[in-house]
Amino acid sequence: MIEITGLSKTFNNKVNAVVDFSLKVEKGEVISLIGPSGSGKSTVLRCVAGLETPDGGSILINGKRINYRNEKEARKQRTIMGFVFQHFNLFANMTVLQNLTVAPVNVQGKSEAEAAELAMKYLKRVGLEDKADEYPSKLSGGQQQRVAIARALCMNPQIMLFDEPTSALDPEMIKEVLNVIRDLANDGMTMIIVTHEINFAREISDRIVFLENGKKLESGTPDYIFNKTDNQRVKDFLNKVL
Amino acid sequence: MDFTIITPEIFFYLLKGAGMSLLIAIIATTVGLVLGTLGAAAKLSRSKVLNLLASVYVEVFRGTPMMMQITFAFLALPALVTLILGKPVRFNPLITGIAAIAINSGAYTTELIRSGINGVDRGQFEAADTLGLTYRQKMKLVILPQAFKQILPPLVSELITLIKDSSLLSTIGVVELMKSATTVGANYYAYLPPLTVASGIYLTLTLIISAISKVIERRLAVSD
Repeated sequence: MIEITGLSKTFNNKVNAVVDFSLKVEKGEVISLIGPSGSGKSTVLRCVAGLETPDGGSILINGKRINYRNEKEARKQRTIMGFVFQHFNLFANMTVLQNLTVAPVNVQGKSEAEAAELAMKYLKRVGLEDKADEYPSKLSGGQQQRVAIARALCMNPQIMLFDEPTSALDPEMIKEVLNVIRDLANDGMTMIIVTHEINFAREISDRIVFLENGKKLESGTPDYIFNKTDNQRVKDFLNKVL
Repeated sequence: MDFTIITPEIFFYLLKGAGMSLLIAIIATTVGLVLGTLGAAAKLSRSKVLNLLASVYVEVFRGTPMMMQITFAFLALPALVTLILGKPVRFNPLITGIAAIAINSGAYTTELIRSGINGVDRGQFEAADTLGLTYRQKMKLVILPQAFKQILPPLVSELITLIKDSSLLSTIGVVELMKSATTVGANYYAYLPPLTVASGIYLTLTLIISAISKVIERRLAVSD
């Protein structure tokens, strides 16, 4: 479903954010990217979503290469994917309901009523149907993130990308967001999750990929990563965070 | 000093002048807003040529006195046009004056809008991108409404500045509040009463506009 081959990305000020990174994600798979801060996990995800333009390598979505030069085509490919940000990024000038309907109406051409009905369905799913008319600033971080997930789901994506979805949350709110993500995984959604919640990654992932300094150091099933690998860097990292 | 020369007729005459001042300021601010939006779009565009054009526009009109721009437009430009067309032309002082003020205001508004757009969190742009909104939709639905909220206060102070600066048009013969007041003063050989009353009217106008903008700001604050 997603095929990343030889991806590399260098930022102006930093050296090699991502180096020769490859990953294949099958339909229905849940992949977690873990590793120390600055290891390039988020950059990989942002390249897949088209938020960054890679310097080298290719990304195929459903067998089709993302064409970064053609904005219209790239935009069309993007709508296959839903993206959830660390800082939620709900539109501050819109109510919760408007946040959920703006893209279905303007991008997919749905009617307002149709989009609103869909939005309420997903708000119910994340347990926030009573917040439809609130502005994002009135919600807690955990609630905002659940709305952000619902907003992405309203576009009926085939793939969900999560960029550290709980890193900006207070500890007591992390669980409510992880529950929503777990729910999606159980439904068979294809997902790539960048996370520092190691135990969560272990629990829901089909595969875990460990990155350091922009390179893939290890990848495999949670059981392999946690119990069987003999990669010392991975072991050190897990010992430190667990 | 004899304030009895300010009869109801004279006061009404001054009010008419104030109406003209207000009209000049509102038209100039509105046109300036359009120019400023275009200027900001040019400044933020990827085209180097447009960037340069917008920068030259802003620097030239912010870097020379408004009085010079108004006088230049009314006295020097007609001469230039006459030279080109080969027959004498004369510019209408009111239209020329409003145009000069609007173009000047557009330069300031360009910077205002540009900084307003830059002030919107990057995440808002990215979220719009990941949802597949086009550039136009992103600007219209997400970015500009948020930028507008930030630039409203400086935009209102721009309107207030222009109400005051519209008095410069008295020098090219536009009968606005300033000109009306000096005319009354000249007729009665007494400047203190009409200039005091005219100052009071300017102050009243600017205070009312400030008050209105506070109300609008409070309305817009619902999403904060």
